Amino acid sequence: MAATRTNGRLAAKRPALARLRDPRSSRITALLVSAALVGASTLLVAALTPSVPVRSAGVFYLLAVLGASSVYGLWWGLATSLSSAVAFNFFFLPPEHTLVVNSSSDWLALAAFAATAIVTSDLAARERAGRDEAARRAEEALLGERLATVIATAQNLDDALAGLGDQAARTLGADTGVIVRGVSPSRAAGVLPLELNGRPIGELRLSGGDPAIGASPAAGRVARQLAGLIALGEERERRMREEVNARALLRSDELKTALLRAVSHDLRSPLQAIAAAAGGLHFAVLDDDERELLDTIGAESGRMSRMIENLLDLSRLTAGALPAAADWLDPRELVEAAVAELFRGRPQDRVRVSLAPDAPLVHGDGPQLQRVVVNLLENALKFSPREAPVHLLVVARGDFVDIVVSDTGPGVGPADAERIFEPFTRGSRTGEVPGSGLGLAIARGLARSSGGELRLAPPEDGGATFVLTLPATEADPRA
Amino acid sequence: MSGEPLILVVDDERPIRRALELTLTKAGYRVATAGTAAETLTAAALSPPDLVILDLMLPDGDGAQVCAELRGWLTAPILLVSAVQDEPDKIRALDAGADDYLTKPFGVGELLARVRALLRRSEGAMAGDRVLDVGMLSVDLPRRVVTVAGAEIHLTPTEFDLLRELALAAGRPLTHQMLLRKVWGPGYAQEMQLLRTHMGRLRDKLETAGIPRDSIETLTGVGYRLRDPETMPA
Repeated sequence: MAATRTNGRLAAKRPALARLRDPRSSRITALLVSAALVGASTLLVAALTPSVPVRSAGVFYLLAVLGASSVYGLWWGLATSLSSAVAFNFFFLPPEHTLVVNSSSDWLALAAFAATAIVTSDLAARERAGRDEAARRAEEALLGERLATVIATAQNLDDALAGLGDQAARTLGADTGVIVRGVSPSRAAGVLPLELNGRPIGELRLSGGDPAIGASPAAGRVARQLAGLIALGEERERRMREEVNARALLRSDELKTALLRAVSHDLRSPLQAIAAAAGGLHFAVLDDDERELLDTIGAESGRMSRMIENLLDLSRLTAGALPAAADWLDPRELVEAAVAELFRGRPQDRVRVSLAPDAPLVHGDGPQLQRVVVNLLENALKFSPREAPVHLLVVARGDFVDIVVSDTGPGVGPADAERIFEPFTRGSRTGEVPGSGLGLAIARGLARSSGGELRLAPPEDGGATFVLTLPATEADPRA
Repeated sequence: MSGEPLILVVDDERPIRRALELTLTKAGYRVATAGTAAETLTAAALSPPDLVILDLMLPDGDGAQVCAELRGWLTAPILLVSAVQDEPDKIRALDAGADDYLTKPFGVGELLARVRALLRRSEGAMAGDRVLDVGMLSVDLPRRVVTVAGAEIHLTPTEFDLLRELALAAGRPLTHQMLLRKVWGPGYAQEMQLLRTHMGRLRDKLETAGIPRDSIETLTGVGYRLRDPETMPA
């Protein structure tokens, strides 16, 4: 609706302005109109002279000057002033019908008239120029409004621009115009380069009208307006494309998550049943050997379910179906909860915890980072000699907090330092210690998805030391 | 209530249901079972249990919803059973009125300890007590004084409020949002930084006074739980 109305207003206004500005027709009409005005003024003065003193009646010539200069500008105004002065002198100042002026008072009257006429011409011409400029600006503003409406509501930018080239061309006094996007603007005549802050957007190819139109200030304004709006439209198109892509991605992520959830439920249930069944024998009267067998069922089903958990986590990580929450966490809580999870509340003395009292809060996903620490501790306990302690440290380090797990096991060879973080890869010193080679890969994946990093510290005197670095602010621990 | 407490075990996996039934029976409880949300509501209505052990994943509805429905008319405690990755579901179920949760796979010892604690609490109501005693920790509500083994420790008003909420719910988990709402107000439910910082200081002070840091358990992704009086150092 708005666009149609705007269009109508533009169309109604255009012919009058175009007629005024058309350089070919206006010279002849201006000449005729100015001559007619001088003639009419002469008749008026002749009609009035019997009753009005002739030197005062000359002021009516100013009407002709005013008319010519306000319609045709300063030069026509001056020409009319001159011819009015000549006509006044010729017809009315004694001796009449000559261009001779006798008395000094007549000279004075003529000079006063000429001066007044020149000033009047100038004032009227300025007023006319101001009106023209205002009209042009209003037209440009209407063009901008229409462009913005079309670009903001268009489904396809190229379709929207197809009709706008002519619109812009007519505003500038040309006949037709074509907007071409994505070309480096050529500096040819009749081509208006469209640039936004020096970045080429395209060009407006004009035909018809004054070939120098491209250099006018109005053309510059229209070009800037067009460039800005096209850039806006392109940005809008890009956003729409991204939104469509994001929606598709989200759907597939949701699907993967749902699938993995179902699979993990199916894999876990039998193990939980085995564990619960073994638990049912808790009160049975068993001898030591039987008790050992029962404990093995319990322990191994627990190990199996942790392995399945790891496998599922890995597939979730690779599928991008394990989004990390961004919470504020107390790193001390994190390690305490990890130890509690590992020993399920039983008293233990193998993990020696040492907490920096001033450790700041860190940023990340609590449950996922707890898995990282649990995985590291499980590894450390597994590879350390029986009864040997494992050290768990929380160290504040500026914008970061390090959670350090070190053991007294065989350590990691230099060749394995990065390899051990790959899935299904185990270090060469793992010996007979069982494992699937998933724990560290998952730990690193989880650490990174929370914005942290997991590294192997340079080897010291035996054992391995892993450092989980977490951001205490928005800083990047990998930087 | 006739004789031993009645426990309603809800799990959609028959083998697990059966194993829990046998274990709890051996431990001296009476046991009823249900495999779906609908069966649960019927069973609980026919013979109101003293405790419900509820699996969060049911074929015909989710655990949180069952919790909310049971809570409408049943005062018996509800113990949730769920997998590790279900933290948001746990929070929803706790908000809907569940009393505690266990993460699968769990040991029999853990299960029985939780069952005992919940049943004990529902018998001897703590409401109306002016002084809460949790092991060697004592919280005097009207005087706002905390003592550890008789010695007073100094807490800020916020730390006191935190400890009071935990002690009122001793042995029961409180979600982060519950604590933030109760201690700071409804507008602060998302201000995790506040909670983490004050909880850290409260633990530091309790530790200095001789109460182990893990007496307030961290339930990662869910909330906090002050240990049950039974397991607190006395």
